[in-house]
Amino acid sequence: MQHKPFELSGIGLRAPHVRELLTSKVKVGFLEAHSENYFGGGNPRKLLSQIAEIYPLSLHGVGLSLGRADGLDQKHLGQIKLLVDEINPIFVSEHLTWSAYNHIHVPDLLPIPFINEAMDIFVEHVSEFQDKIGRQILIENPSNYLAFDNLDYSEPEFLNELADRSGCGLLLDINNIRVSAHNLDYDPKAYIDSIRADGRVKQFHLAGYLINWLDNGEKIYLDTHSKPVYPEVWDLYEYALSRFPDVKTLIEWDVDIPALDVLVAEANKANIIYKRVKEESNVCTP
Amino acid sequence: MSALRDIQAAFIHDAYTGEQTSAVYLNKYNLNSLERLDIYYNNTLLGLTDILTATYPVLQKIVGESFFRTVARFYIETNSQITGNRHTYGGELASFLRSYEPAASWPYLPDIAAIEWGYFQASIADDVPALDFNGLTNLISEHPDFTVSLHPGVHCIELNFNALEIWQEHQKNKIETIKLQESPQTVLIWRDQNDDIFLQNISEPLKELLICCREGINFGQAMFQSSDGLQDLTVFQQEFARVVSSGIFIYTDGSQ
Repeated sequence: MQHKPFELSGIGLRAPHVRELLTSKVKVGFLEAHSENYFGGGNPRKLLSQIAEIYPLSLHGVGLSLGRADGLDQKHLGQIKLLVDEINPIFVSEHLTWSAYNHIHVPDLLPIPFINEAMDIFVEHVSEFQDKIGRQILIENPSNYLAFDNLDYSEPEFLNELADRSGCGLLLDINNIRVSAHNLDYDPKAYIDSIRADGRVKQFHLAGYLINWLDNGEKIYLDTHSKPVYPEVWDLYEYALSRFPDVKTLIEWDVDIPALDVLVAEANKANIIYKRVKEESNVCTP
Repeated sequence: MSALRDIQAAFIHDAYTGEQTSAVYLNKYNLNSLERLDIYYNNTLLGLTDILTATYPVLQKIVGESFFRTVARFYIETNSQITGNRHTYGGELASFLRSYEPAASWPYLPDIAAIEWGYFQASIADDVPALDFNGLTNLISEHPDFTVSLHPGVHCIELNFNALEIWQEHQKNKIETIKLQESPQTVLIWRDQNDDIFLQNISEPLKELLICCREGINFGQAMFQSSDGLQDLTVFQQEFARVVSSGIFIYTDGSQ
């Protein structure tokens, strides 16, 4: 399979939309599938292969648990390799998180303490992953609800060094930056400014979050992928595009999934902003 | 700072129990850390409940959403997710239901759960080339001691009630009342080469044959064992022909 050129933003591939995507050529830049949804064989895997014949496709992992302290699950890694070999995706990505320890997993992305020991583990596991599939992976910044004590790095410092030491690329989830910045009380633009603009950022994610209140009345943002992208996230996206101008964008929506045209409309909003920032940067650059 | 292993052990424990043993590692200036830890506990419960809901739709239809979520909550307490592959979670639900007292008035629920698990596993099993009649005939003539195994999409389950009939009724939009009957039976669930899923009651001899094949006994011996005491050869031949043509056997050249 040859990669096709893509300029437009992409959308997450979700089961309710598969038939429609196969029967009518929808105008999106690419689709992104959760790798673990397509482990094994049968109809889901065949449909994914058909999708990959029509659209550029990226694979986004949610279950490998790169930050686990007790070594990667080789069977899981092998299943991802089979999928990558079969689909030939445009990107392969995972998270700066962990979700398993000592043979117990959770269906969630748990926070990592940014300490030297975690850095060594991430470098080792990202390198192992890349060696296994024979290509670069992208690492996505998480959404955070709490912070650890006694850290050696800030999150952007951790991502920068991980990219340096392992050779991975970065996937900046703008919604996650907004969610974490609110929950942990930092400046989201300063976070973006701290990520080095050296070509390592290859993809953006955009999504909607849920506003919730803790029992003490404190407002907290939850990364639910259940809403349209918030205006403040669009603003932050525009800011990020001005720092990382040629990065591809994906709209994620995983809960209360709307009709396909709603997702495509969100992707088109991203396209408009992308085009505007690109034109402005061309005007500014002699 | 404690070793990462200590932090992860504590965090995983909290994610399943709702306890807050990992609070000692959190930023002490964040006064709401304890409440925020609950987010991960809730996410674990919700995520695993969603997996069970997707795998057991008929079970939920029978008992209702509220009761199903209660079942899920108790199941999750004693059954952790043991791989990062969501397709592997929930396989012990039939067994769990057998001893779950609040569900005692639905004695056929474990059977329904077993059917749904087999159906789901059949739908996502690895794609493996199956033996057809010609392949089987060639093996019989060329390798007399050959061994076959079952396609990974094949599941053979034992039921205590007429649960297959109940399950099939729940695939319809309008569900008719089915009379519950205690009637032990074996159901074969498999995915054919077109990815269609089939469920069928099978005879004791065919069940015996499948067990022998799964245990790695060579095909000739398996046929001999399963035909012991056979009442009606024609019926068995027809049943055997159907499952072979559906691609339930794979050739393992005796190495498994």
